[in-house]
Amino acid sequence: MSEVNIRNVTKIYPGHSSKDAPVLALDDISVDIADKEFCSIVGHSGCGKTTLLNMLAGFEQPTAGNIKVHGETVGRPSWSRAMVFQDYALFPWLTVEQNISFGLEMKQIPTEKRQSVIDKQIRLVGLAGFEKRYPHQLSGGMKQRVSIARALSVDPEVLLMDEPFAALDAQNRAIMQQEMGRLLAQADADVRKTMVLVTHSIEEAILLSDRIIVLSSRPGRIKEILMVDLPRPRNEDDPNFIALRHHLRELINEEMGAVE
Amino acid sequence: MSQLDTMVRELANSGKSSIDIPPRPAGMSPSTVTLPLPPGAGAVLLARMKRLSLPVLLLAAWQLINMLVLDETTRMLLPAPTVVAIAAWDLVATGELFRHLFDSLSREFVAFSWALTAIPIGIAMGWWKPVHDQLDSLVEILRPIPPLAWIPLSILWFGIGDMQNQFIIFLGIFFPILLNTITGVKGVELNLVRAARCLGAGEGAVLRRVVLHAALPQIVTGIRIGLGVGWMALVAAELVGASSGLGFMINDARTLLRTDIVIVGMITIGLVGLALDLLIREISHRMLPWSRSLHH
Repeated sequence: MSEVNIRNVTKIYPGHSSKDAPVLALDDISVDIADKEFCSIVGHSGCGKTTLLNMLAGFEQPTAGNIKVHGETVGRPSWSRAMVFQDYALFPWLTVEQNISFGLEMKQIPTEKRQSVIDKQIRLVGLAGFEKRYPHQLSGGMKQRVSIARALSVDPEVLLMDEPFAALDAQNRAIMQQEMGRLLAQADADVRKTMVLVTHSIEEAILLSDRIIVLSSRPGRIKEILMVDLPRPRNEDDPNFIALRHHLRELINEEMGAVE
Repeated sequence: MSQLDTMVRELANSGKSSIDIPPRPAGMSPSTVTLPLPPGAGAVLLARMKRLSLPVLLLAAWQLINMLVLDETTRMLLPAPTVVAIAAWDLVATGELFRHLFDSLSREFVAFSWALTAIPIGIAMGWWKPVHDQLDSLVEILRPIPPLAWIPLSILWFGIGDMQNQFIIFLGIFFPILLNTITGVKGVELNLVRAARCLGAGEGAVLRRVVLHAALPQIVTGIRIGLGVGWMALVAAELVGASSGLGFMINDARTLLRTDIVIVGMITIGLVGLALDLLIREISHRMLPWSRSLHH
């Protein structure tokens, strides 16, 4: 059975004033995401991909249709659908350790068990030695590591990522993508999560995903769903990688033409 | 070119045995390279002294004018710095200054404790729109009334003394804290709240663990402004409605034409106001080390 079922989801935003027409952001989206699958959503900016992610998280509600996770309709946000944000959204008054501990406290994990989870997550994302630092003392890449560790610490069923590497410089972005790819390649069943990644980077999507959902622009509709059947860790020089990239770029360029 | 240069220099230097190295810019010469060392304690003191030179000059002018220009009557109105210093010493020695200072500070403190209710009210107003809609008009009507305008009514309500003074100070402190808390809460980044929610935080935890903390730098700014306004209001309240405190002291001294005591009181009020502000700033720097990175 699929983990996430998105059924006929439509999102309409009311206009800002009575004169503005309502905006159709997403139109009749239906897709299933399997257990432990890594699924990317790509598309031109403004195609509603972040809106879809926000609805998966429970931050926004669909105007029509519904989203179910493990058979339960998504209502309010919950730790079972943890989110990694583009701007990290770390609590600046908490240390690295305390940020990771936040969700564990919310889940009322006993104090003695918390530390072992925190240590495990810190090791997983390579932040050993930075436990007592505050977010403002960290680089962008390290902040995003904390954010990923924090989201994973609550052991969510689905990990949602909204352009997680977009705010990083090119070099750090490449490192983070590679590490994420490495993590996915070696991840054992209990670490591996169902993941939904929103990105505008075609390479990032191919590097990490099992499946890529391409959205059309205004309104957002599913244009194509691509399987990425390449061995991990993936290599950008692989001819199959290049062919897939070419195909994806064409799909997205068509949409850019459609907008203009 | 360079050979000619050297020859000319040699010729020029031939008479002076002390200079045999081609001249270089002073900073380039190895013997004169000095790393900028942190200034020593003496240098720091000297720099501070320099900044005080104008005040010292004015003080000296005040003293001279007092001795040379003013007559007996006008000297009463503007006593010399030395006279003020002697008065200050007397007030300190008899403990009178500290008695009044203590009374003033405890009023400020009591009023401040009451004014801290502005924090939960401000959080509620900033967070829940219905609460804001209900209270906002009330706040907007009351806020522009200066605390001093409440003095006549408050004397009738509470009589002369602590209660009346504390009420006036409370009004001075309350509104800056309230308004800054509301602003702080409204400015909390949406993604911080969302992050907390998708880590499992309920409404109460979001308010206590996220909104309160994120708004704290702005709340502290409100407290700083409030304590300053409160301190000014305090002195005014004590001028007319108290039988102790620094405001009372200077008004009482006026009736006795003890202008020296008046000036000592004024200086004390200024210094204590400054000290309060520095204290809050120091506390906030210690307790909110992360906030500096957000605002600077």
